[in-house]
Amino acid sequence: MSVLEISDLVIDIRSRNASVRPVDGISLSIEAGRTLGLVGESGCGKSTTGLAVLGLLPLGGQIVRGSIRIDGQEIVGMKEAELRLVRGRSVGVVFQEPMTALNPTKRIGVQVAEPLLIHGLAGRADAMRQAIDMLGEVGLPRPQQQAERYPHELSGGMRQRVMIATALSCRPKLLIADEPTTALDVTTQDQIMRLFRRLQDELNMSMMLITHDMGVVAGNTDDVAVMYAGRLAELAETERLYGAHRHRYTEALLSSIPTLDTSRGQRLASIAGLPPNLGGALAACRFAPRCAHASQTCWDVEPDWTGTDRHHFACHWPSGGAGATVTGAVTSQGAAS
Amino acid sequence: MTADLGQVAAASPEPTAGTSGPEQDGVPKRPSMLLRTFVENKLAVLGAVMFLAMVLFCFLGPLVYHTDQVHTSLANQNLPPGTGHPLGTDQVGYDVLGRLMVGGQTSLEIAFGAAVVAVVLGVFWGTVAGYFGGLVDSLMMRIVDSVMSIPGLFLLMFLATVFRPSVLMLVLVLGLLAWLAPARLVRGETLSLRHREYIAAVRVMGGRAPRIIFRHLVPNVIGTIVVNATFQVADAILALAAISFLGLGIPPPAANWGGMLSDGLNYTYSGFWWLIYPPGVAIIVTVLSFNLIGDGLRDAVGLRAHRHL
Repeated sequence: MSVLEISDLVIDIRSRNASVRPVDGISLSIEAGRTLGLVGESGCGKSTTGLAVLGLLPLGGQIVRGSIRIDGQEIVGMKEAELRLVRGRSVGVVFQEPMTALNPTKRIGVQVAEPLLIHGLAGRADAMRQAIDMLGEVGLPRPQQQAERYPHELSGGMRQRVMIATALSCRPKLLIADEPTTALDVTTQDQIMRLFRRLQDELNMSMMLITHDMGVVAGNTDDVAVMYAGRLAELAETERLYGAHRHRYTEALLSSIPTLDTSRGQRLASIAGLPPNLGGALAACRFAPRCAHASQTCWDVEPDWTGTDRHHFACHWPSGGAGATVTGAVTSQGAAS
Repeated sequence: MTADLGQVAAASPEPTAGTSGPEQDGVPKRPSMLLRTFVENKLAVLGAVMFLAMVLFCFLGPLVYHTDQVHTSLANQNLPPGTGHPLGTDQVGYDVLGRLMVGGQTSLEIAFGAAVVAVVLGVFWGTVAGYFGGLVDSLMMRIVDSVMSIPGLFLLMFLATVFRPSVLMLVLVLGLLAWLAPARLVRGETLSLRHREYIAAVRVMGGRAPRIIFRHLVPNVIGTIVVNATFQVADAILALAAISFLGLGIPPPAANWGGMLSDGLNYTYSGFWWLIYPPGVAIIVTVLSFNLIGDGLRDAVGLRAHRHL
């Protein structure tokens, strides 16, 4: 059974004079023990999707339709008190900024123990003991002493380890890591990603890795969902996505990664323009305004969510494919799942 | 090992207690750093010394210098400073120096009490309003605005005439007037803190609002709170002096500095300066000491924030 199953999720954020739809019909699922990478540019709705899994939405946010199931349990429409039982216990979260995600006035041991205390899974002394074990588990040397330190006494990488220990202290089934390595330097990034993989194996945990870094996704995920302007562009197993991607946005993203073959002085490929304002009018294929392959069809007709078993995409002019798949559009986006 | 664990669990009230472990990198601890920056500030140290001297004078003084502050002695009315009465006597024959000590006790007690009431209420109000935001915030802060728009002295006089002045009553009245400033201050700070990731992190762990507010927000505004509390004490001493001056303080034979000043002013034209200067100077010295301490603390706390963010 899928640990996380999102289907046709639509989220609106309303402010006084505008309404935006950062998530518009997302469907995806994560099997037990697997890692899904959720990639896309900033402002594509990745983090909103991640937080929605915990029933947390930005101010004015509202789930318009769709369903989110964790271990078969429906999250949408759940009461706040029930949601609190899910947060931290079934689902752990690691944030991007280890500098700001730890309370500067509290010792790290206390912070790691906090979820256990919140959920009443351990008494004070027992929670501290478990916290120290967890700190050792995430690779903090001398956890006994470290537990008494304040966040400012640790380096960025160590702090991120503390964050991970906090997120995992209740042994959740699902870990949502929102850009967990973006604030870290490359060598630390690698250590943290290895740590994630090791812990995932040990705890048999599923993971949603939200990132914009295609490099991080490549070596650390089983599946990848590419998100653009609130929709899924492509969803495939990681190897397949890198080897045989179809959506033009995926193609553009991948070609913007510099490689060792890139010669000196050669400009890095980039995608012109910015993701669209989700409050304004959008092209039928949302990537059309920035796509080098777009035709009039892309502006007028919404591309179908097509593909085989484990590889789906929504593009009129997929790379490596024959061409437009406009005709015979029956299924709507998301129905394919 | 187990001893360490116990230490960890019990550590939170005393941040420096657990740091004497075998392997320390010499990273300065937050409280000691705070102390260092405070001590570097000469004026702040002067303030602390003045305050300490005042406390010793008021609370230990009477043990050394015995005077009768209950029975009037009309034979000894308005004696100028001299042998037996270093600061003279007042209009009913009380020794002024002794009265200054007794009056100081009352003034300091009431001022501290009022500051505690004001800060506790203000912090509660401010963090709750700031954390919940929206309608709750608007409602709570409009209440603050409304109370603030009533002239404080008027309200003080009104309450002082309705209720019989006593130490407890004055603590409550002064505290209930003074909590508005810390409430605004703390609410402002909370507004910026509530969007920090570590607050979001507690919500993501499933923590409830009380835990977030009292365990995570309050410790982070403690700097502001402590600084404000010092100024609150100074303000309360002044406010107490003001209402006592207007004759609405604690009735005799109890004494306080404001009341002494008020009584003394009746004799301005008789030239009885020893009835006016001592309480006046005591008020100024105490208020000044708290302002100096407050400034020093603010700098120390400010520097701390600067170094760690």
